[in-house]
Parts: sequence; C-alpha cells; structure tokens
Amino acid sequence: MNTAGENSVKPGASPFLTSRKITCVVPDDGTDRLLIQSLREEKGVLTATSKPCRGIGILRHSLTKHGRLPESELVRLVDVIAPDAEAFELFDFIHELAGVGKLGGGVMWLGPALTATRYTLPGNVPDEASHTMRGSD
Amino acid sequence: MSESNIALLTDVILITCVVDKGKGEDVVKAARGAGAAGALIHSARGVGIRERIGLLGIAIEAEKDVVEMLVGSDQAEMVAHTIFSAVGLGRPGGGFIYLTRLEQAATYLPQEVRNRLKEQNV
Repeated sequence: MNTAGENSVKPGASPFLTSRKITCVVPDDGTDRLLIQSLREEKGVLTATSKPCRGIGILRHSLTKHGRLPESELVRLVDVIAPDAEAFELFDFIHELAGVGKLGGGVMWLGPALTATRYTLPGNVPDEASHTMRGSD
Repeated sequence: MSESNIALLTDVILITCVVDKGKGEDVVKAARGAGAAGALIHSARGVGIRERIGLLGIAIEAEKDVVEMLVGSDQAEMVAHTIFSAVGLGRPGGGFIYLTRLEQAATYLPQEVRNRLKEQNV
C-alpha cells in the first residue's frame, strides 16, 4: 500500500496496480475529513478524495406536491482507490468508521476491479494542523 | 444480503448519467418514476468534442450535472431506458449514461427489512 514518505516508485515496479474504487456518501458534518485522515494515519491510504454533492435520500417520501422532487441535502462523496487485496478490508473499515449502517449514515459501494497508478508523496511534508481536521469532534 | 454484521447488498448497479447543467433533476424525476430510489447530483465541467466547434477555435466548456444512483440489477435497464427517453440522450449533445456492476453496497436497512431478507435467505 502506498504510504506517506515513500517518495518514489521502486525501480522495476509497475506503476500500475489492480485496484478498486470504494465510494462512500456521508453527511456533510465533517465525517469525510475524519475518514480521509483515518485512512491516511491508520491504513496508509493516500488516494482518497471528497467532493460536495446534493443527495436525495432513499427514505424520503417519493410523492411531493406537484410531482416535485424531495428537498435535496448537502452530502459528501468520498472516493477511495484501494489496492485490490485490501479493498474488502478497507470497505469494512470505512463502513465502521463512517457509521454507514446507522440511520442517516449514508451509503457506500465497492466497484469492480480497475487499474490505477501508485500515488506517493514526497517525504517531510508536514501534516495539516490537526485542529482543522478534528476540530468538529 | 451477506451473513456478516454489515448488511451487504449485492446485485446492485450504479447508473451514472451526465447531462447539461440544470437537467440533473429531470434525470432523477425520470429515474424515480421508473422505480429508482435515492440519487446524487454533482457538478462537473465537460471538455471534449465541443472544444472544436467553438467560434474562432475558442474552447467551449460545458457545465454538466452528473447524476449517480444505485438500483437493483433487475431494474437497471428499465431505469436507464426511461432516463434515456425522458431526458433525450439520443440527440446530439444530450448527454450520456453508463451502468457499472458493483461488487457490493451497504447502507442503513431498517430491522424489518433485514428480518425479511433473512427469512428469504437473501
């Protein structure tokens, strides 16, 4: 797995890995930042991104006045590219950490195998100040 | 559903539809009419063949809505066809849609749904 501090791909190693994309939709309450930080610190996964989305939950009433859609809410879509061998374990890790199985916890899925390049960071890059990552805890 | 503590859903298809900005809601409406449940909408900027048809070669960037939704594999094609017709994906520049078969998915399932799935040995 790629970890912070590995600043280059080893000579002779393929830059491509069989990987899977784990996608997680979480509430816009800081869960995505906690998730990305934990993936990096506990699992050494650097390939996680978060972007804002409008979500229409499946438990909302489908019938609204004048056939309009239910009100959407802001959510975060977190994509994690995981090495194939660790994808299922990471899926469980994210499920537990993000509370996906709880009411209002969101939804997540694991996609088919794909090819991804390794992602590394140069060494000695300081971490983002921790209070900005876990300040909302 | 699997036997683990996590309620894993299999036979799930991810439908992704890219349309012009503002049409994402039309996609969701059509999909819900065909039986899809939730959906996600986010923005993207499309760059492609339209670049070449700009005035004096000036690139045209198109703001897009990307709609993603999870549906059961048995209803995926019907939902996709409904969206295709309702939003007019068949016309040039109308957008496109693609389906991805997922390995597994997880979300909150009410206890009664979990019990029902257990009874059915799903």
